[in-house]
Amino acid sequence: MKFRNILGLSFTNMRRRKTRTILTTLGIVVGIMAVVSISSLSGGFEGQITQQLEQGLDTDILTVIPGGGSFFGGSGLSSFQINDTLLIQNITGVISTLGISQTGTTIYNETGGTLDTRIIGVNFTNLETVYGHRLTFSSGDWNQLGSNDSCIVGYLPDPIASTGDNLSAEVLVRVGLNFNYINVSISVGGVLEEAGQSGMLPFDRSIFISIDTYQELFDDSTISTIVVRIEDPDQADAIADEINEAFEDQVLVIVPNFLIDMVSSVFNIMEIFLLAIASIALLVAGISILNIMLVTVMERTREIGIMKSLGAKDRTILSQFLSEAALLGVLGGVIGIIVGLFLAQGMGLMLPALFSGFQGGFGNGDIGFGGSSSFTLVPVLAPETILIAMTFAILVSVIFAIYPARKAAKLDPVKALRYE
Amino acid sequence: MTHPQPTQPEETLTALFDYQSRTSKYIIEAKNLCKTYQMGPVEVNAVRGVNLQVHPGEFLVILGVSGSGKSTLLHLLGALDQPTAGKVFVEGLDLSTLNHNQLADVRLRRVGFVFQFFNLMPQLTAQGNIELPLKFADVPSTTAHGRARDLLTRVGLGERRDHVPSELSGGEQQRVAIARALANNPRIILADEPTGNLDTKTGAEIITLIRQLNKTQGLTFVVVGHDARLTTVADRVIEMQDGGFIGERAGGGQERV
Repeated sequence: MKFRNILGLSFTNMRRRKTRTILTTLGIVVGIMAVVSISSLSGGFEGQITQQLEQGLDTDILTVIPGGGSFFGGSGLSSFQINDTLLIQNITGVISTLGISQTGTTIYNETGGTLDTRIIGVNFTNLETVYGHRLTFSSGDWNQLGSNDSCIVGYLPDPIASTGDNLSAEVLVRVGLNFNYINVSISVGGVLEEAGQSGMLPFDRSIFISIDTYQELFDDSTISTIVVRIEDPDQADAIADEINEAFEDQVLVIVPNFLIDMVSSVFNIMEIFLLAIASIALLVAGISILNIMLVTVMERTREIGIMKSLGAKDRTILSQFLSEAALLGVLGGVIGIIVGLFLAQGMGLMLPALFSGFQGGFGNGDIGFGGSSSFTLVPVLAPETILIAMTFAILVSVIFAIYPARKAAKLDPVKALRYE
Repeated sequence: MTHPQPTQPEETLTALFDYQSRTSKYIIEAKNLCKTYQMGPVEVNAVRGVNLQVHPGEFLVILGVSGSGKSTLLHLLGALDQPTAGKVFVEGLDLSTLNHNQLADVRLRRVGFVFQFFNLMPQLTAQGNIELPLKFADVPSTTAHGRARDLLTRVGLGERRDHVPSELSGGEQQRVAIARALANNPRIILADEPTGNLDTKTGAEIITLIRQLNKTQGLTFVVVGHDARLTTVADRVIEMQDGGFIGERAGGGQERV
């Protein structure tokens, strides 16, 4: 029997029992819906975070932090000395280096307002050689920053100071076991335009002071991070190796794609885990197809007998039932993909509200990443996901239909005809 | 029941049939046919040692009460069931030499079945029911469509082709079933109590129709049942009881040509 004719008869049979057809596909619908919504939400989430990271991603910037072994721990340096930048500066391919110390703090200004910010100690000359190409001033410029007692104020939607002002504030600092308020008065040498962040260095909402002032103010002679600008982004890995060598592997060099790679791998693991759960739904769907097909074969025993008495071969009966299962899979797959997409859209609107704590970045301590931009989640469904979902829907339906279909094909025609 | 391995490829089966039917005197022949069922602990001898020769174009009626084994015999003759012992020759070909698929092919092209309860596919229209065996035989759909229309017209149901069985009367359903049995041009029609589920008048119409097909098309009919009217049109009547033949006589029909 021709495939087209088998398919035609399958359509007729499925239309005959619409309610059952819909109920049979329900399991597949739920399974595929779960797969599609999970992977499109995860894809959207990953895309969102990757995009935020990429905004601050300069391909010619390496970030060196103390530590060793892995990102999450291990022995090694706890901080850098101020001259450690020189070890890196001498490596071929390095344009310049920038040592950074930063503290998250609250500034209390004279009018009683408060501002959560980071005070970042840098060498202004090095800041210009490393980031000069990317930072623009809304007022002031590099030349006004000569003295140690001026500062650069990062972008704020509601500026707290402009160039030439004296920024006076009480800064809360921890000294030993005590919290002390220090009166600080520093002239503003420049105010930056919106610049996002670079790697783990946020420009917006930050106040840059000279490293000398920083060390004096916070009684801290160390630096926490060294930012390295290199000539050729393709050399990033090679230079990272040399830096590691220079510090006897007691540091961690973050190459531009490090965070993105890490986020990707975390998401991949999460997605595999969630898909494993979703595949249980598909397994259950398959079992329900097996069940319902067995009932259907029993109900249609007489029809099978008729077909055999008319000269249908076993393989015709077999392909008849398998093609009905495949059609159930297609139907369930299509509905599941559509419902899954709507579900993902709905969850995409609801989830950001749950994660609102993330707004403003993932922390503002020594290592902070994530910007101050607001968090939105747009589900992304890759075309191959649709293809894989459809394949699974059909495959699960057909595989679980093999046993009932074989049972139907092997029926004895005489007994089948007598079946009431 | 084991089946012999294929003795010849399917495409040579037709040629073999054609050769055998030219050389064989009988269109159906049964030799010492036996069929034993196991019904729980009881062994039922449904057919015991039947010998039968059917001539081409003959209208043969086998009479017997229910349980006499006549339906089982009909299934054996039509390759729907396999005998416990003995042999069936259809158009000269020994069915015991055929494999599973080849037996299906005999049912598809060599014999047509008509049943007491019509056995139409409930989800298909009259047209669709007749097209079904044509589709099994891979007849192109336009050809199948035309042939099904012709057959429906021939059994007097040209106007009812788009109705499903539940919308047809018993007589109409049996006409569709007869048309379906003719679909792939078999030379043999095997009918199991074709009037058993019809009222007297409709039954008589069906008997007239099959007799007419027998006369005009030269189709061989083997009809089992207990409707006495069948004997009036039959060429030959065999009486069956407890799985064996107990008598044979000429029927009321005209003499076989």
